[in-house]
Amino acid sequence: MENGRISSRQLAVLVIYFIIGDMLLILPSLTISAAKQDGWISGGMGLLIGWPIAWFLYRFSRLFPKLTIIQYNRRLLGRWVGGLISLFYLYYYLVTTAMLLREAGDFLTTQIFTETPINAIHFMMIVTLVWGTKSGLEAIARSGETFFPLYIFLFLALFVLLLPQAELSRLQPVMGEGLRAITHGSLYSSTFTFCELNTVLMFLPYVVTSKTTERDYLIGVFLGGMAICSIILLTLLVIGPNLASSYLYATYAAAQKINVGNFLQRVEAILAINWILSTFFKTILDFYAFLLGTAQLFKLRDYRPLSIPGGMLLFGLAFAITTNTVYFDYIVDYYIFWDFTCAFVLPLMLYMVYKFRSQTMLSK
Amino acid sequence: MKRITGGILAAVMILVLLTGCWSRRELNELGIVSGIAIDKSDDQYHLSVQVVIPDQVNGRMGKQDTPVAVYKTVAPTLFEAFRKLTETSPRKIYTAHIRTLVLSEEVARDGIAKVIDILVRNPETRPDYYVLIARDVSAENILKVLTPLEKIPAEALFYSLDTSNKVWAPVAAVTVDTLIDQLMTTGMSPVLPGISLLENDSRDTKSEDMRHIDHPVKLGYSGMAVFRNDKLIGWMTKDEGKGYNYIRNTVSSTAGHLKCPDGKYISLEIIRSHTEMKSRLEAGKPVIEISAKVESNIGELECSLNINDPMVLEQLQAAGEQDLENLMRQSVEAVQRRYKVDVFGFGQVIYNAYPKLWKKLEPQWNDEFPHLKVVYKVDAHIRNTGMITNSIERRMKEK
Repeated sequence: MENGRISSRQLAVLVIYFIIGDMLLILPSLTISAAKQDGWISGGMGLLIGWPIAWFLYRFSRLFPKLTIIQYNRRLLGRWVGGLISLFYLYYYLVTTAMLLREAGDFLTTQIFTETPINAIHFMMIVTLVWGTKSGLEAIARSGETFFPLYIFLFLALFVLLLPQAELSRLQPVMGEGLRAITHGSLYSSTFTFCELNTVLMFLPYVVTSKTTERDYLIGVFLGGMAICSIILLTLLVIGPNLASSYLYATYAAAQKINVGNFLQRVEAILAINWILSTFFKTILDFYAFLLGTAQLFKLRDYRPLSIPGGMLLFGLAFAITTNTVYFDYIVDYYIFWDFTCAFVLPLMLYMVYKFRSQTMLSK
Repeated sequence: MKRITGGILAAVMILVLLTGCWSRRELNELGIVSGIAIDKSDDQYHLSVQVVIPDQVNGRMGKQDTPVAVYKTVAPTLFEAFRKLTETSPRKIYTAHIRTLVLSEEVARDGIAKVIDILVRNPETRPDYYVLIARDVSAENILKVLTPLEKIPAEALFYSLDTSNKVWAPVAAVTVDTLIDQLMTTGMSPVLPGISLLENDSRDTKSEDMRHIDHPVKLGYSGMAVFRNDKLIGWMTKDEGKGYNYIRNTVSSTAGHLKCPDGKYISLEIIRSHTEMKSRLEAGKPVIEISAKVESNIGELECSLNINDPMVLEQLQAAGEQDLENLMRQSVEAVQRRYKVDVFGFGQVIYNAYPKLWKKLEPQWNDEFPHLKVVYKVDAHIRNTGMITNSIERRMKEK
């Protein structure tokens, strides 16, 4: 089905893209409106909750190192129940892809291409998605690796350029809103980053494993999480909790403040470029998971012929998935639970079934 | 064959997808706005925009005519007003380069939040321009004054505010994002600088006026507007504004004077100033402690004080400390008595130190604020006496 193989370094790079993903722009507003000036603590707490989940996902995938979750669902739960769970996952991948696409469309039409129809932007992204998935996992991983130095450079540039605008007093008072608010914020920072990583269950089987694979994966998770934490911190330091929670794209508003000696300014596009890059890789991996999973569930010989129809499906879905940005914000609170179900509840259940069945098998 | 088809396909795709000129706007189709003024009457907004005329700003070609044009329109909402401007302006109004936003007193009394909403919501504008309140004059007239040093008046306002902010304590510059931040911060009300016509001449200034050396009409900053929530409720005097700026730690450099024993003046150049606010509890009630550190040089000595004597300098420092304390105290007391709104952000200081206590205080903060106890600690140092020591007057007598 998938003949390509990726190295563990490529895996780490993809994981970093995946964790930062769309959250580079969206997470700061969410956590900061929940936890105010303590949003950065929420970010750290999210990493503490999310890292073990990511680790669990990896361990879980090692039960059947050569199979994707769609394949071992059936093996563990049988044809019908397993098929049902697989369908649930496929639906999740599809909707998540469409959501990500819509996020990109919404951002670009709000901030940059204000008069361009959102469909035009979706169309361009879908063309790339279809092309990318047709080329296979190896091509995706390699292009991720190619863009990575640029990504890191722009990311660091953003920090260096914004540092003069940072003010520590914006973080005061620490813990002013209490633990409850911080926990609320950490719900966003742990699910939308680490829990959505469950897509990794679809391509871990194609990683050439070595002794360092697990370590590389966990380092990738950690770096991605740290990047997310620091972007929340940076947003807070630069524009403070009040502004950050009222802007739709708080990080972008912070990046607009870049001003080095009244000379280097209006370069917030570097953030937009970075965001598009990481969102693109997150989207394409989710889309890939959907296509590959569908082909595996229905026992097709290849998933590639599905990518064009899949792209068409996305084109409609991305447009129809929310009526407007307000409704989108409303969905967010429910998405947490979906992410958590797919990343932790279902895998844990499968894990227990595995343990139970291997024990009964032994006792027989 | 396959390669050729692929090549053609790629070429077509690139043509269609990468020629990103969907809604392009060329420079010569834009009316670049430098300043916006908003007045209000009978529930209608009067929007005036100052548009730069590129030819006139150009160094070599310009000078024949005014460097800017003002377009105005009336509409029930600002968004409509912006679009309606195209009825008179040949170019589409482009607001990415605004330097100043001038609001009339009526607009400010009615609430500024709704007015700045459109400017923040619109992705084209950036929240880095200054907000001013036109005092005793319509906002529109502020935009109609030509300024000699800077060709574009709104730019002149921007730089004059920028410079005053650095070297003259009574004026504080407020950009729109700071303003929004202050509007949303608990325990803090915003303050905006006021602007007025100095020699109040109602006639429109023409290009001829550029030929005057002392312009018949000039713009000047006067006082600071005090807000409750987003509504203007009054003005602080220059001295109160100065005290306010010391307390808010926005003074970087300014000038002040002390009286010599013989009644003449000695001016100090304040070169560095740093203020910190702290909060502590006294019998369960919050007390604000303001500690200011000021470093100054002697800028001008009219009297015959012997400043070679360290004791005299010591006395001067003590006098300076007393003076600054009075300045801040008067400012705080005036605001507590007259306006009863926390423009100094004392509530925020309490929130930072005692978040739980603040949650209880917050609902009735406007009633609590006038009775808040404020303690001052001032530490002034005179570092330098300039290029000479004792005054020329004294030297003359010694001769």
